[in-house]
Amino acid sequence: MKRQAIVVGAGPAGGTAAFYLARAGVDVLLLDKESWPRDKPCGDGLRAPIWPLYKEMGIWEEVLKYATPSAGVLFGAPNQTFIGLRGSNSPLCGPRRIIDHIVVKAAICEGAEFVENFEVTDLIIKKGFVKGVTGIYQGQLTKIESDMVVIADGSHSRLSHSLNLYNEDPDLVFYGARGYFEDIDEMSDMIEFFYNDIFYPAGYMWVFPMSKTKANVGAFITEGALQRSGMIIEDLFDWWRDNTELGYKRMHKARLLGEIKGWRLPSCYGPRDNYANGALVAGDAGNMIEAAYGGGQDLAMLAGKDAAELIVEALKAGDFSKEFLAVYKDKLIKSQSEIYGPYNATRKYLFTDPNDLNEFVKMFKDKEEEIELPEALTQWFGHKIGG
Amino acid sequence: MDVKVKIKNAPEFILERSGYALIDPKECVNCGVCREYCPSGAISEMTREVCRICPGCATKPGMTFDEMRDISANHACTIGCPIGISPQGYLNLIKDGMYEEAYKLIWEKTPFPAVLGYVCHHPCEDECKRGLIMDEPLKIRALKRYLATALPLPVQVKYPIMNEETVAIVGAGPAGLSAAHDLAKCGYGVTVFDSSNEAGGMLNRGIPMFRLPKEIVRQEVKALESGGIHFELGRFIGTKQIENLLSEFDAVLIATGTPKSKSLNIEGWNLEGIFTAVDFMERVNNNSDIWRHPGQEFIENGEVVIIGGGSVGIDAARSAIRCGAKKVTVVCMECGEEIPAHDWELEEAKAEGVVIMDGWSPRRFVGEQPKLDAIELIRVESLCKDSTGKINCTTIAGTEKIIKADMVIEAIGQKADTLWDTYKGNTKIFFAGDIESSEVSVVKAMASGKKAALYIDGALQGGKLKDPMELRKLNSAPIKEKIYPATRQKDRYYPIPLLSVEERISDTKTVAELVLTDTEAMAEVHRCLECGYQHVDSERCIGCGVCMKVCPKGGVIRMVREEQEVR
Repeated sequence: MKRQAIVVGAGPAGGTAAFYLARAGVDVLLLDKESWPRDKPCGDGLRAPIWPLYKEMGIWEEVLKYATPSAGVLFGAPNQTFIGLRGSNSPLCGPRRIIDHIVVKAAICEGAEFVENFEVTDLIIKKGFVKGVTGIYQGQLTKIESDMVVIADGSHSRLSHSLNLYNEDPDLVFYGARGYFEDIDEMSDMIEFFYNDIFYPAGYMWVFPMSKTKANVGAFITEGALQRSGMIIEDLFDWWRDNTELGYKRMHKARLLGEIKGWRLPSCYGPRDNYANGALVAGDAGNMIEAAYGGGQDLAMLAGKDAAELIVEALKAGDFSKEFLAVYKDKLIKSQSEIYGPYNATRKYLFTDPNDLNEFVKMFKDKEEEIELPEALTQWFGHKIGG
Repeated sequence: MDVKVKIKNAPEFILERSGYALIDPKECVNCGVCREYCPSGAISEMTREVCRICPGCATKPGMTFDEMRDISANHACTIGCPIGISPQGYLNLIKDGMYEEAYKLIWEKTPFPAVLGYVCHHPCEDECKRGLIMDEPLKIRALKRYLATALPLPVQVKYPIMNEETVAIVGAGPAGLSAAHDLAKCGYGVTVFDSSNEAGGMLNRGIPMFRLPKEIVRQEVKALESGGIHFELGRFIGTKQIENLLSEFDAVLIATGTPKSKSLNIEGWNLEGIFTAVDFMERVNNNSDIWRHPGQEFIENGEVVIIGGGSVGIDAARSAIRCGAKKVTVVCMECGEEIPAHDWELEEAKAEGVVIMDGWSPRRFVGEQPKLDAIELIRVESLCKDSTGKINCTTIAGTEKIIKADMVIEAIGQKADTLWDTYKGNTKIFFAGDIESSEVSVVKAMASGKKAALYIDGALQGGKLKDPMELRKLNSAPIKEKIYPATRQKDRYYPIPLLSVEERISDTKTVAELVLTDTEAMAEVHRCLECGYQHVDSERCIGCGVCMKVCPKGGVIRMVREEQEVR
């Protein structure tokens, strides 16, 4: 049976797209290769730009039930000085296993059909148009046709690879690894980022608190830096504890709960041409990760919503050509620029030269109590660009 | 566009072409046929990088970038095969349901697809990127057996007779018959001589039937015969007869192998009950009445000691178990990982009850004439090979130990006849197989036969055969082709099915390993990461379109015009 829209991947991008498609009355099939709920290695940070989406979807209360608020952001600089800056819109920390599932459940309630354990392996292409997907379901090769496909199959996306909508720049592809740890010492009530020379550009160790002593701890590093380090990614945890003052303080008696898991994070500096005849790409599959902190849930959800709105228009017009869909990029620029803009500047002026962060800490350490992070960053950019 | 063309043995010239070939990397199964046929050498093999960075996405531990890139760039099943078969090629043709094309791909390189499906020691699997980077290598040998079983009979092809020259091959073992196949394909009249009444050489005599049924060898030999290769069996060729061959044929290939076992020259060597492995295996395989007398009394309910931890020793040990021995012990000088037999052989042997005593060296045979009763061993301190390959062994005094032995089988290596030494240097005589090198394995003997065929063709006709082995070189594919194990986590894995130990040791003929079922085979071919593909260098392509015609799959290669934009 032919569907109006198929969404491949039920992460933040796919779940959101399916939700808004269903809300608009579109016949939508949401496919995911995992059994849900599923774990997903991530820093678990939920930043302010997606809070309105949770509210629109009617799941804000439920998200708050499972997410831990943070009071601000703490930066550990390469010279082992540090600064904690409060912020009223500081990210929530919500385990992806739960939060992603809340979004999917909302999409189902809205009328989307959800099929898990369906591994999409390829696109059906007819006369140059994406016309559905093929995949493995219950051990069988299965084909489903559709007018439109939303490609949201994550950072290893087979589908965007097959459409050549993919980027592999070693300074923009990050690798992340995270573990849940107990008995972290001297932890603040803020989300914490620790910068060290070997992680540059932009890489860091993170500690995101989940309780007084438990935290999501991770390593985030570009492909280029990881290669230069000559280490395997798990080694970065031990390296940080054994070679840095701040790392030792946090981790000297920490115990790993479960195992360390890793993931690939392809980032970019702004919306790209994430469309083809009959298909739109959203989320990690379209490199929608900002290049400063590697956050992508907000970009993914905004893109999911944009894709859904555009598909509704395309179905109305009966036009699925890439010429019609080219407006996707404009929509993304409109919705995502307020995220990419400041984060691109942060990457450039704060996370590229290790001295910048040393200086940043020094510059604001006296005003630690009175200044909020956005204000500090604005002043810093002014200082860098002006100077 | 004009391209400079350089074809072997011809002067370089300029050619105006209307277009060039383009291979779709997604569709290409990397069989390499186009590369072998390409007249201008424009086609090369690309190999994709396999990611192994993040913890938890594959069972093998994480790697550094350098390690991952090194393995990715330098390993692929296609360069692991000594006779140049592309496993990725036939595995993926099986996946596409093209069984005959898959079989033909193997047959082009060897007349023994089924035999290899049973007994190849599969060096290709050691090179499999999936095995090196993710989890377990593809079960390439088992799939070859599956393929040979799924097709009713060997491919029946008549070899063309195109050349006047004729070649005599002495020795109908894997080396000789591989050479015969290649030379016959090339159009030479080929006659194979063997002193035995049945062709196959060590395939019949040395390899136990529980690993390779004789019927399989017979089938594939028969295909050679009906293809037009002439067999003269039961004909012993010695130095006297060779003179006749030299006058009758344009070239003679000696591929007589290493029919003679070495034996230990230690105290008690002449006691009754001491056999060489070749002698023992020949008796078991011929199922001859020799076991009625005198052999059977040694082995039935007896304690058997095998000396030597190579594949031959393990085969002998497992055969002894099947002949009814009460206890079978393999004694070898090497220790642990150093034991020359393959891991899987050792494991299957141990499961069947074979005891491995590693790090012991035999000192003397003990017994009252004429009968053997025991063997004295001594602990090995160190082993080293000198530059000539001779093993020097030092032992620890005072560690002597006597173990009971009703029968001893010596599997300490084989040697070639010295008969042919005087002919080395004769320009009409060529050598191949175990006689030529110290490497003893079926597929390596075949490789040596193929090499000899190349030399012979070179001597007779100036070399029409291209050496496909020379064309095998891996080039790193662009980064957009990278493979992520995270996308392959649902691939099913089935271990190779084996009969239960009781069933497989019940007699000497029951094949221990079962053939993969259709479901298992399909799941297995889907595990292939398809890490390689063929690529056309558009600067060197002359636009002849041969690659498109020879591609066994179809829909992979197309010709594009110069002005056409290529995505």
